[in-house]
Amino acid sequence: MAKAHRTSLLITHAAMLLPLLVILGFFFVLPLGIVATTSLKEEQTFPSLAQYLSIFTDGFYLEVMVRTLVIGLVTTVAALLAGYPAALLLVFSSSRWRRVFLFIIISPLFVSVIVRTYGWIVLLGPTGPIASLFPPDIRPRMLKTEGAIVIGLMHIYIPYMVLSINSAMAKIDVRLLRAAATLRASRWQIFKDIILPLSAPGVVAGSAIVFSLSMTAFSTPVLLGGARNKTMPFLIYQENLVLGDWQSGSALAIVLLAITTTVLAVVTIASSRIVNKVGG
Amino acid sequence: MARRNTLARVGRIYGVLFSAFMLAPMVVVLAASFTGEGYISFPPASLSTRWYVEVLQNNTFMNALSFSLQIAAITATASGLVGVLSAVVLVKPSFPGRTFLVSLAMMPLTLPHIVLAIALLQLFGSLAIPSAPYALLMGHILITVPYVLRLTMTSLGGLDPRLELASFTLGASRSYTLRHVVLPLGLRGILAGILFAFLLSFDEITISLFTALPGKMTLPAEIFSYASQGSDPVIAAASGLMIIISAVVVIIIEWWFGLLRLILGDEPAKRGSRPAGE
Repeated sequence: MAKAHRTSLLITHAAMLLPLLVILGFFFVLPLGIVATTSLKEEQTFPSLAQYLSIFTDGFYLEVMVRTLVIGLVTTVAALLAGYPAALLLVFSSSRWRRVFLFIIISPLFVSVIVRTYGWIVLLGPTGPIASLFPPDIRPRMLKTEGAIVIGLMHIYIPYMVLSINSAMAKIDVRLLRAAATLRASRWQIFKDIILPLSAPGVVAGSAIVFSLSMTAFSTPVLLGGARNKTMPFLIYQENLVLGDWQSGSALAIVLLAITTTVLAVVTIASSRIVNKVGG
Repeated sequence: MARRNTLARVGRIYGVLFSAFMLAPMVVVLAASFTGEGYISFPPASLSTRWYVEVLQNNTFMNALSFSLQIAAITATASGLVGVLSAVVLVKPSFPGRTFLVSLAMMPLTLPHIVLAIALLQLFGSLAIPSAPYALLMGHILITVPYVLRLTMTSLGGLDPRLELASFTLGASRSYTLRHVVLPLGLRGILAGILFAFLLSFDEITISLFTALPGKMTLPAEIFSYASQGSDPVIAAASGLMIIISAVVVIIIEWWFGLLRLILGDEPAKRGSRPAGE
């Protein structure tokens, strides 16, 4: 009786999980497998590394790849430099202001990326508020530059950086700071010797998230960078959907995925080491 | 003491500047959408609602808006069903393979949307099935299920297990207990997850751009194609429309569940949510 009941319960549970398993298996794992397989095809030959060889030997592909990496790095550093003080402010402000400040940092996440990007098109545009600060003849061209891509991406992804650093800072034991103050440590010493090392896991995790998101962003670089500053996602779009070269397009997608996955994996391992070191 | 005040003042100034930076694009879009002129300018030289009238009479934008709302509604319903059904099972700590299944379900969040879009197009291509609108829907369901799953698991996991036991003791069956005790108690979290799924789908741009057909695009995809061709105040008005709709959903989430709780988990000190990528 009890056994029959257990079996029927197991069947019910399996049935309830079935939709999730079907979706993940058929629309997530299988399609990724197809992309990986397609990337290993050359005409009718399989397996072949020809697509990957041509990516890493072609000057144009390499140029786009380096630009994408540089944009990812610069965006991450900019988000870190601007986001760290914001996270610090969040931790040390009074609870009422913390709530307001958190709302301001989080609320852009609920507005479509395309709307935020369009906002930067207006802000950086030739008739925008920043350009109008300059006399008409020496107005700098801000749109369609790599700088515009960095500003747009940084604005879109900085909330993740701030939240990540903030969550690491919030875990710091307040008694540690009080003890340091009692021992007459200066504010700078407290920051340098306690807050900075203990917030490092948040910095690392936030940087990894911002880096991989900005390397894989599509619409923001296309709209703010224009045709001259192509990044890898645009190349993936072009190969697959414009040129119809799915084999080369798949290889590019796999390369992009490999870069971001490696960064995330390395960072996960590194940050667990940091946590162990600081904790132990 | 004086240094302390200086530091506090510097902090306050930075906070104001940072907030201005965060809000600037939205403020500018809203302000520009109310211009009376025929071109984009900030601050607008004159105020009017003519571009909202224009966008509401524009068939392209209105078809895109209704398509977006339909996709978001279907996504939210499907993700709600899939997420809640599996959360009810996966919330039990004793369930075999639980950790593996939950992390598998969370994986679409770390996959770049552009790769997911290409993968789905190739799947439908190799099956020789027309991809629109199914590739778009599946993509949106995949990236929203994790949120429904996580929020439902958090709300059900926080319930007192004695409530369930009490219900069994009183002779209620498992399914009766689930429908009349467990799910109603977890309702807030579940509905917050479903609303968030709606909003994520409504806002999503990359998968929509890759999988939509010309003439049947979502509103973000339509704004993208207009914006890549030039700046017309009608784009600002369409973007303003998106901000207004997002704000309505956000206000409902805030009133019903709490925005900070949705993003940060139950306590503010908890680790932030996984990112919703582009």
